[in-house]
Amino acid sequence: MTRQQSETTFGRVNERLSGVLRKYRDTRIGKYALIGPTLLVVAVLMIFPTIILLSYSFNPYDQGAIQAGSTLAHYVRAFTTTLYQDTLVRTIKIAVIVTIIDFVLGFPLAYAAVRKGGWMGKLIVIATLAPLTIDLVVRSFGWFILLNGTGVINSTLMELGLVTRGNAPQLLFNETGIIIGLSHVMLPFMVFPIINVMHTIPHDLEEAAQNLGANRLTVFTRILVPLALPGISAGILITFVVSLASYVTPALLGGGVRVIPVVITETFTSTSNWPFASALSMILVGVALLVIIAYQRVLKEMEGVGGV
Amino acid sequence: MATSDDSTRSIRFDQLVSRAGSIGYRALVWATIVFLLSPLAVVVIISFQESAYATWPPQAFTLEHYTTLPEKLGFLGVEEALFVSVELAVATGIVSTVLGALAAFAIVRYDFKYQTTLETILISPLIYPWIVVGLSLLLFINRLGDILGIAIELNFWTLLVGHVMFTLPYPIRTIGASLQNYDDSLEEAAQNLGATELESYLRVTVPLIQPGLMSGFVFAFILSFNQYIVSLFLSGPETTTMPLVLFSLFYNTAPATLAAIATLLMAGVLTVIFVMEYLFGISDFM
Repeated sequence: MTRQQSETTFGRVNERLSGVLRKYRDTRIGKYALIGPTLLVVAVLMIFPTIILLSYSFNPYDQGAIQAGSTLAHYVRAFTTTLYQDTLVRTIKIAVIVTIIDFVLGFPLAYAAVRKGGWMGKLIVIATLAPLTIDLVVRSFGWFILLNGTGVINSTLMELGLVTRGNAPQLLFNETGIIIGLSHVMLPFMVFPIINVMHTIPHDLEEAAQNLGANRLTVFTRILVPLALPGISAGILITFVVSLASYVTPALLGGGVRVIPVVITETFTSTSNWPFASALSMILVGVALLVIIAYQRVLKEMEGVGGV
Repeated sequence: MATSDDSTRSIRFDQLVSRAGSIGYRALVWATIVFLLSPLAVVVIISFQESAYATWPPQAFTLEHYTTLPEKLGFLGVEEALFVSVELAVATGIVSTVLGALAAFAIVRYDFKYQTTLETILISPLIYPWIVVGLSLLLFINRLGDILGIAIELNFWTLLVGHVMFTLPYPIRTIGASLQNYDDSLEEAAQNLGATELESYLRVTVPLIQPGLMSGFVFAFILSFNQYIVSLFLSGPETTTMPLVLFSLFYNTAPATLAAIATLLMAGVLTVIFVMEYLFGISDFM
């Protein structure tokens, strides 16, 4: 009895909704009703807040309180104080090194995943995917176990007699620790776009080039890189921009060595100087935007050169 | 005579270089796989060794860190945080997937005047710095409260708003990809055979794009579940998430205890992924 009732209710809803769908499906209203909510979420939750962040970054901060008016003092402070200059340079340097390491490790891995296929390909995909799904704090903890003074790596090196307790390399609480940790975090972001594009490159091209006398290096620089460029550039872009803005890994593995996101968080949580934290955040957004814009230009110019 | 000798020697040298290159290449690939998995593996190993510290090499193995865990969990605040995190990740996954599905449907099926710009805007949270998402949303909520003259409390809902925002691009991409893979004439066929519009979407379209929907959901779920920095800014005093608790335990608890908690978490997340893969084949759209 109840079942029949629910069926008729469903029938009514079905008719009503289908009528609405039929009426608006091919109209402008239908089109914008679909995309509207998502667009609104992005606009209201990303663009508006960024504007407010920007406006905060111009607010004077005096005697422990935010004042009315506008000033460039926070930007001047960020760019002229040695401490913040160094931090900015260090943050960018780390992001560049991480991007290079991940390309050097990630390209061969992606290539092997696609060309070897089979169980090896599966193993590579699983090995790349697994860390991606694990909490950043847990992954940093793994690196803490590996890298600390008496950790896995240094213990093993001492066991092998390669180093002594006195001259064991310091791998944690410095830039090295941050670079190793971030390279691990970002590697999947480099590998997957390259895997996706590598699937579309016919293997015959490489064989043809090799039969015509090209060596591996030539095949790599003249065939693989130009054809895989969309994937490579996506990987490089994401790796660089996300490394630049990472907080968890540098905060846990960097010790006293700080990067911009760590300074932003510290400024925000331990002082009430929101304007300065906002200015630093805007600098981060600015660098990211510059990279994205410069990148699109480079890509457009390269399209003409590749021409395969 | 001398020339032919030279050429054979150079061929042999070439072969040697090529052999060395291929060995070096293989070593690099294996080293990278070890690099990817070793931080996860050592956490598991440390959780089973006897000492409370992360001593290496392990002297003896024990289950003690697991058997004593139940009494520690409540004290460390793990239980409550885990509950909040799962709830938040499920809610984020559902909202993000629904919004993402609608947007993906619009992008794939309709032509917009500024198609590329539109797609760029929708995908942009992907590269927008998470720390800026957190900080700017907090300032936005604050300003909104000022304008409306009320104090907006930071709680589960503010967290949800932030998490939906940064996870949105993932379902859009996975669902967009799966929509592109199938022929929309199937819907028409269903309708010609007497199905209503609603029925044709629910019974034909949704099942066909299910892998895309589910992988979008899993992506959003995992990103939300593991999110630290956005939650740091948007969580209130009453709502703490798992990554926040883990972060605070990092240097403040016995490494072996943290390792046991981390191992259980990894097992949980990997189980979710394997179940979803088995049920829905989500890996096609990862």
